Amino acid sequence: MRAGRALAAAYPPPVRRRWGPDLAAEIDSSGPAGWLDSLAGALRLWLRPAQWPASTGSHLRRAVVVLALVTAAVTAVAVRGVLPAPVTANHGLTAVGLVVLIVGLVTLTPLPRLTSASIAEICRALAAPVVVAAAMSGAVYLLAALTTDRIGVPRIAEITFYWLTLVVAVSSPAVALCRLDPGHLHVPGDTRAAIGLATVATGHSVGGLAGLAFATTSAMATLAVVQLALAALTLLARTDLRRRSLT
Amino acid sequence: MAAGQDAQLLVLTALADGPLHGYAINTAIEQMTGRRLGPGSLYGALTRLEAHGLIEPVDGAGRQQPMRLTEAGTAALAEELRTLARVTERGLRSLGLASS
Repeated sequence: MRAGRALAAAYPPPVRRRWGPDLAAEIDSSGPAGWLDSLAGALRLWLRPAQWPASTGSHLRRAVVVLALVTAAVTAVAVRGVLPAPVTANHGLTAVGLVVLIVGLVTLTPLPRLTSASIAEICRALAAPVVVAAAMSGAVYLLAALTTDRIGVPRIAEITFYWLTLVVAVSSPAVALCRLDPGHLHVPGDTRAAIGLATVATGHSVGGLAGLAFATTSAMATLAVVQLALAALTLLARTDLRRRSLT
Repeated sequence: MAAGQDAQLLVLTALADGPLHGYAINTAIEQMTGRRLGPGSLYGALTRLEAHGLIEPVDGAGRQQPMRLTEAGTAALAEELRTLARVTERGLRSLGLASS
């Protein structure tokens, strides 16, 4: 694959639909000097979905909701992963942030239309992600059961595969729903999206601040910084969404 | 002026002559400034300008997507260029390089 097509693939789908061939040709003609600028441009556009071309209000809301859902769900899993079990008093605030994040997730989750055609279509869309996630989870348990006392590279590989499984299990159903015909889902309206995004941002903020204050491991501190960045991005997306819905 | 706004002004100026597609816009910018915008800067500027209603797509031939200025885009460009002209005039006068 040529660099132009590969780098153009990093852009959000509506941008690719509008500019894809032009963008790929421009990247190819700019040579390696333009690759960094291309990636930075893609990142900037992913962070501002309200600027994506030809997005109607509902398309835009759906894109923002799915992005927020995926990032919040992955973060929730990561936060639970780094929290000690049982949760100690010092990490109580982090746990509160996690609960708020989950409330935001529930608020944002698109609901299925209760018709047999929609339910069949949703089941069909979710079948592959669920099978893949189940197979990966099975492999994790099998690995854990078959071998013990791993150190070095095998241990790192095991941990990496464990986290990859969690990320796939959380994100692939959301991505599958995003690709589904919007007619099969009730995507949150303006009000529910605004409340959900504000709740998710609050969860990220509380978790991030608590993590910074009480982090006992470098993983918790890193996650806290990521959560604060996600809080800012979620609020930015909420502001963009409201601005677009008013125009 | 921030780099992003700089790119947007260049794109608006390139489109003042009429509808162009992305590659042609960058060629026009190269003729004006001596260098092309990076792909991310160019298409980021196009995307932001369209989101703000300053440019809009026109029916194109083939796979390329020409864009043109909207009325709001024309007004914004005129205002920005008048401001730049005042700044340029003042700067040249201060440097003793003004023609009159």
